[in-house]
Formats: sequence, structure tokens, C-alpha cells
Amino acid sequence: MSDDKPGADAYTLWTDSRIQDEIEKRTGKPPAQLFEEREQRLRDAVALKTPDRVPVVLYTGYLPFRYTGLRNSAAFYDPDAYRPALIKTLLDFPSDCFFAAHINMSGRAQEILGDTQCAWAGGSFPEDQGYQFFGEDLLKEDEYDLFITDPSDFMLRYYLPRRYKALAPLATLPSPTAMIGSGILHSTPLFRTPEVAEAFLALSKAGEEQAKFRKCDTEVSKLMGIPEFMAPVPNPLCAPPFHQIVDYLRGLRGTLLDMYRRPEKLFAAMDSIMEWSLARAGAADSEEFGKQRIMAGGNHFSSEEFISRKQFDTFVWPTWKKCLLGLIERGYVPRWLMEGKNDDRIEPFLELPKGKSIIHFEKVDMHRAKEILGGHMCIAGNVPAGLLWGGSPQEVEDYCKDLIEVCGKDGGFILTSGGSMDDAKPENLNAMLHAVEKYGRYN
Amino acid sequence: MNDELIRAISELDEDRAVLLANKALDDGESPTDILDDCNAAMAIVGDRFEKNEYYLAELMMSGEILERISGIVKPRVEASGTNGKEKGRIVIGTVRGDVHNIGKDIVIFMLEVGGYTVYDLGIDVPEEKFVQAIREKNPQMVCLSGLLTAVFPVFRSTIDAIKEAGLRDRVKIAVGGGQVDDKVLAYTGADGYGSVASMAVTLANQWISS
Repeated sequence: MSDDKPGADAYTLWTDSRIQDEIEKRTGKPPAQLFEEREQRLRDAVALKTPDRVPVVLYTGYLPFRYTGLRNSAAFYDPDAYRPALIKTLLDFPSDCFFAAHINMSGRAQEILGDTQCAWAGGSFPEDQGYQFFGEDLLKEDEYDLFITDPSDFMLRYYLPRRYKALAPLATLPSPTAMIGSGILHSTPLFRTPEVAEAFLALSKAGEEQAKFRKCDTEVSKLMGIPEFMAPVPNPLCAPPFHQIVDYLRGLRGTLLDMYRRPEKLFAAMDSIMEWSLARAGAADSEEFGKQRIMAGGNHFSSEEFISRKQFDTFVWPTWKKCLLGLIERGYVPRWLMEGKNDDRIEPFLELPKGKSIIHFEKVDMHRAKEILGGHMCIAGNVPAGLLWGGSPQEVEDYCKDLIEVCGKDGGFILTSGGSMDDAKPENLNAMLHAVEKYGRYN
Repeated sequence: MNDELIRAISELDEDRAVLLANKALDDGESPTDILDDCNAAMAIVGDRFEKNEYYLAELMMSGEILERISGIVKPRVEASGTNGKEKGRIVIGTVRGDVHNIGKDIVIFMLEVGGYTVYDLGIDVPEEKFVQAIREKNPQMVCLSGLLTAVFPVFRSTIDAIKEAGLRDRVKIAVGGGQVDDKVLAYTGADGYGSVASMAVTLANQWISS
């Protein structure tokens, strides 16, 4: 960094109160007040009212690492790096809200477990990549019935042993339902075998490593007065069932072929996943609004690049809609990302109740999206990550101005990027933050 | 031409297509004729994909059906080779630092359906491997794929490496990926770009076929 701002390292030495004093010095307001004001802005946007101005969200992703001169691999191997990097990023680019899309994952723990389905920066990925889950064929084509009728057995004795090399011996354990009545006594000799003992040891060692990666987003959010875009929840809390199958069980290829070869099994599995997801979600915390906003997945494999509108209507939307309605009923404000091109599949979202959710677009024609969804649901988006990387501040400002004027009209709009801002130029981020002040004031 | 077989494949009626292929063999149809029918069906599939009537699932299903029929028919083809005429050679790979393969694989499928011979260098491909492949395969076109904004500079360094090796004039270069646009194109110095798979075929048809 060539500016005179302190580097990320400096913030490891700052006490919490010094950070708060610094924020108050820069903004004239204590962080707690800023938090309330920013939260209100978001709340109004979701409820389709006009806030004092258009809220702007930093979709941070790996930005804190890149901006402070770290490699993405630090996200997986340096548990202490993130907090000061995040603090510096949020101080230097004060927004209404941030969304830390990077995964809270210890590379060492993953190595100990031998995750065969996942790659990450500094592991089998180059240092500046992110994270990718493959999920190819963890559920075999002839295992749908087992998965649906006894999911816990499937997860314990099929999924975990397949996914993690170190957990392969779990496949030799008895089915949990076999323990009805007989308990575990007669199975205990299994746990004496060196293989099973090793597996449990690996779990313990991985636990040591993963415990070092405590998520600090919520704490930093409170400290600095910047709400999180979404409450931290285990992923995938309520992602579209179609995507849970594509991403984590059958892979893209397997799922697409199942659409032709065994659609009835696919439907049954999606129904079950929908029910399990909602059961897991429970009721939202009604005390604090920010905790109600949650990630409801995205449609990265159900955009126009991958499936037809008819396939979307048949295979994706029915269970996804039930998930979203179920979350809304439970008091959540679901937010999801429409990745890729989605111009021909906007209308179905009109079936959701008014002012209860956030639809975040990556590449859609935003004017048209506003025409269709305006007055019905809050739209977020969609400054292209490529523009933030390669455009000029003027181009970023122009893009934001257009979004604010068209999509921001009469409220119900949140300005953010279409994808994670990993490599955004600082001057372009500033242009985006200034644009809401310059063009985004209501009345 | 066995219209029934072509229809079964292009309508993705898997069981019927396999049945018809077996029946055709039993009826004494030549294995090469059946493979020609397969090609004709795949051309229909590719065409429907272009027109957004078919999507990825249909590409994959047609590929599966083709594989099954080839498995039945190929053993009967006495190393007669395929139809022999080559439309063009294309080298493709996801550049160094990026490991995304889905976009690249769709492009490969579409180029192959379009009749091109495609050499896939895989993912996280270093600059020198592209240079080497151009020397060895003598392609008319090179496709650099990448999804991450972080690899745009690698598009450029790969093209620079091709220039330095004195091979730039021998190939047309396309950069492709979901985030690629004309700004990225200008930055990298490529000849064209694609943000969706079909743009690669359009470029190939422009650059090679004409």
C-alpha cells in the first residue's frame, strides 16, 4: 500500500477501544450508533421503504487478504491473519454492511482428514485461488433410497468414509439403527482396531487445528458498527435442494443425468432435503434483525448457462420455493445469489411474499429485474467484479449511478457487487462507496 | 440415413436409441453408417444447444448415448478410422492459477460437436505448456480459459509467452470465462473473447472455417 494508512499488522496491536475511538474520530459517531443507522438502512430496503440513502454492502470475500498484501492461502493457514486484515479493510472502506464470503476452514485440519472433495488455496490449489468443493459421486446413482430412508446412516458410513481418507474406517461401523435395543456393547471391539482408533485420533487432531479458526466476523461487526449482510449459520443451511445435491452429493454431471434417468428419485431426495433443512433452521432470533438475514444459497448451477427455464421450473424452483417460504414463515429474511445469467427466470420470485427477502443478482439486466420485482422484493447487486478490478473509478461511478437511479428508485435496493470483490482496486471501491453518498440520498 | 435412430439420439431417448442401434447392426447396416447417424444426431443436438433449446443436461445425455452406441458399434469397425476430414485444430486450457473446468469442458464439447479437433491441456496450465502445445499440435486457434479475475494477468502473460516464442502470428487466440468482457480482451491482447461457451464456436467458425 502506498498510502499513509496503517497496515493490517498495526491493528493486531490496537485495543478494541482504540479502534472504536478511531471510528468515532473519522465519522463523528460511536460504532454502536453507526450499527443502528446502518441496520435501519438495510431493514428499510428489505421492507421496500426508502431509507435515508441507498445502503451499500462490501462483498468482501478474499478482499481483506488481497488488500493487505496477503495471499488467499492465509485464509486457510494463518488463523490470526484475518481479523486485523478485516479491521483494516472495513476501516479503509467504510460501508453499511459486509459479507465475508470466504470459508472459515483450517487447511491443516483438512489435510489431516484427507478431504478428497475439496481444494483450497495453499492446499492443492495455487496460493491465490479460493476454495472449491467438488462433491462428485459421493452419493452413487443407486443409493438414493438409502439416502432418503436412513440419511444419518448414509452420512456416517458412506459419505464421511468416501469424502475423508482418514475416516474410511467409519464404513466398518454398524448402522446406527442396529443399536436399537442392543446398544453399542457388542460393537465396541471394532473400536480397538488400529484403523478405527486412527480415524478417531485424526478427528481429534483436526479439531485442534480447526479450533484455531474461530470466526471473528460477528465480533468485528459489533466492534466496528458494521452489520453483517447475513448471520453466520452453518452452510448450507437452506440452499436450494437441487444445489445441495449438485454441490455436495451427486455432482453436476450426475445430477443432470439423473434428471433424465431417474427423475423420481431426484424429486424424492430434494423433498427430503427440503424437510431436513427447514427442521434444522428452527425459528429465527426475533430480537435482533440482523440475525434474521440468512444465506439461502444461490443458483450457480441453475442459471441459463446450465439448465433451461423449464428444467428450473421442474427441478429447482418447487423445493427451493418451499424452502424460502418456510424460512420466511420462521421469521428469517433469506438472501440468495443469482449467479450467472438469469434474465428468463426472474418472475417465479414474485410467488414469494412481499418485502421479506433479498435477491442478489450477478449478471442480470438490472433495469428489467427492477421492472419485474420492484415494489415486491429487495434487489441487491450488481457492480461486476471485473469492473472493480479493471475499470476506472469513473466507470465504476457511472455504473453505480445508473443502478442507484433505476433500481434504487422508491427504495428496495442494496448496492453491492455481483461477485466477491477479491481483486477490486482501492480507488474503485472508494468510487462505489462515494456513489451512494453522491447519488443515493432519498428525498 | 437411419432417421429413426437419429431422432432417438437427438431426442435423448436413451433406451430406444441403444435398441435401434443394436437392431440396425442386426439388420446388417454398416457400423460406419451408424456412426454417421450418430454424428448427424450430435449435429442436431449442437444446433439445439446453440438455439437455447438444449442445455447442459442434453449435451451430457447425448454424450452418454453416443458413448453407449460407440461401445456397441466401434468393435465392429475394422480400424477404419473416422471420416477423416479435419475442420481445424484447437488447443485449450484453463490458465495457470485457475482450476475451473466446467466452462472449458462445455466449450470443448461444443467445439467437438462442431467438428473441430480439440487438444485439452487441462487446468492450472503454465504459459510454457501452451507454447509447447502450439509447437506440437500446430493449432489454428488457442483458447485460454479462466473464471477468476485474479488470472486476467495470466491471460496476458500467456499471450506474451506465445509472442516471445515467435508463434503469435500462427494462431488466433481467444480468452474466455464468465467474467471476461471487451475490457479484459483489450487488456490481454487476445483476438477475441467468450463469456458463454457458444461464443467459442462462433469465433472458431469465423477464424478457421472461413
